[in-house]
Amino acid sequence: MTVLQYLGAFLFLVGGFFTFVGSLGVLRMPDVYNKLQAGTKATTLGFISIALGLLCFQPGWTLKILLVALFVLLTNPIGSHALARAAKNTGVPTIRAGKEEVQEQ
Amino acid sequence: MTGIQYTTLGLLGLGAIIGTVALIRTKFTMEKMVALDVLTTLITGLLLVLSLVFDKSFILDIAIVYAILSFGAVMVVARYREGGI
Repeated sequence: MTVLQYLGAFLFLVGGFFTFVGSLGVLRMPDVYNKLQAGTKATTLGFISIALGLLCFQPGWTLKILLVALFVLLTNPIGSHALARAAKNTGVPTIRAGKEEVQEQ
Repeated sequence: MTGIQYTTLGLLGLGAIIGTVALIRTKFTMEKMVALDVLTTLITGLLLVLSLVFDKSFILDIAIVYAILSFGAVMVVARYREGGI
């Protein structure tokens, strides 16, 4: 086992942990915007970490791995931005509105 | 060395199960789309780990096509719910 494979194993574990935490955040967060910020950022970090770990394990597949990583790195913020804008324009309520109603009662 | 890969596969599979539960249990359409977006990114990472486990490089092509299709689906649903496609 070389140094590069140790680095790849570390990056794999970091990526798996962050994707798991992002998925758990989507289940546990109370609001659609909180779900967006918990899900998209942590999942993007985990995916890029997994791609770099795969790059450390298999240096012969560099072009395809960089293509996947670059595509996800470009399109994931665009998709989350479109989702947030659609949620705002279609009137999905935030958690703050619910708390104000509770405080008024 | 394969223990690391199987640990990562287990974490990603557990995350996929939790994402499916979040996809079913949420109420609004946008929350469901957020859960679906997270789930597709997670399954793309799962395909990357599977390409290392099986030692086949064509699974990366499947990952590219899956990422493109999921991005198109998320954009189409978001723009359709907003009103103009």
